[in-house]
Amino acid sequence: MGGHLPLFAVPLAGLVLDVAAQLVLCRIPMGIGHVRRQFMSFAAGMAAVAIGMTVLLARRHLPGADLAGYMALHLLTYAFLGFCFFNVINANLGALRVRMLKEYLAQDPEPLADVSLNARYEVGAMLDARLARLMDGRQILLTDGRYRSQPGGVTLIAGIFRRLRRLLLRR
Amino acid sequence: MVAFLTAFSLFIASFGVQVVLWRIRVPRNQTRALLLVFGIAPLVLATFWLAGAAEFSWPVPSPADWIGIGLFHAAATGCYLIVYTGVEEDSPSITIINALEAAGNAGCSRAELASRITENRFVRPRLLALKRGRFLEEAGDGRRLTARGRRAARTAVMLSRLFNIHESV
Repeated sequence: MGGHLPLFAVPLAGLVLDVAAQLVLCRIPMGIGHVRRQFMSFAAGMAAVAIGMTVLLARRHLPGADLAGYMALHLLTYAFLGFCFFNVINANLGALRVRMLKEYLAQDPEPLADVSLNARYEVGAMLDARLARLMDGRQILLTDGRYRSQPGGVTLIAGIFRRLRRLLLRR
Repeated sequence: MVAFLTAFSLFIASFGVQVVLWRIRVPRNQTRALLLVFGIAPLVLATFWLAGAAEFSWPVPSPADWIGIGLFHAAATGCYLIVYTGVEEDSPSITIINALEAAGNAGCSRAELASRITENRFVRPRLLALKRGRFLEEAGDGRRLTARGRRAARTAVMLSRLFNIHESV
């Protein structure tokens, strides 16, 4: 068992590197947004995992299929862990639920009336911010006063959500 | 390859169990139900696999591989839980994209999109979800944080400071 132990530690080490790189990158003024910084730190972790796995697997005399299997297992594990970390940061950037919790905390221990919360949540402003973000990311285009979708990451994600919703929730 | 295929199969099989259960009845607290399904189903399935392997000489991962398989499953389940929040509830960005996809080449004006981004569709369901998850409790004509909600909110604030995050709408 001891000989196999380091393999599963590699994606965990990659995640630690991802977090550490993000802690450094978020403090350096680079003129780029959070998402791009997150991709940079994620890529650093992925490169470290790929190198670490290559070094560790080179010491073992395994058939090609097993090498590919271990590589896929641990690279995917890192990718999943990285995705979770990415979303922890992103939830703090724009998730409504997290933002609401912060609104309640600012008022704590006093209750926050629904009317006050709704006033802070002007849906028009929310729409404009989302439209601006989607246009920045070239996910949508504005021509002749009308918005149109563009093929891209968000469109792909929206399609996955639609299919999952149909499969699981039948709506 | 046995370790990877086992990990992948266990996750897909857990998803299959979820599909069957959700088709019978969608649970009220879906996050908790998902955690139970993705926590229990692989244990049951792996037990059956090991029992079958002893009988039919199926390939079995080594004990150390099981740790990697467990980590893969936990990480994949974490991702799926995150993705599932987008399935369970509408996000404004996804709603906009869905509306634009449905409109095709004609596209949508801001006013048409505004009719879909409403308080009832986005703010209210999240308030109810926070209450259902016992992060908020009713108080007078509004709500306040529970002890759990306070912990979650403080963690969010701490993470914002740590990673220099300035939230947007």
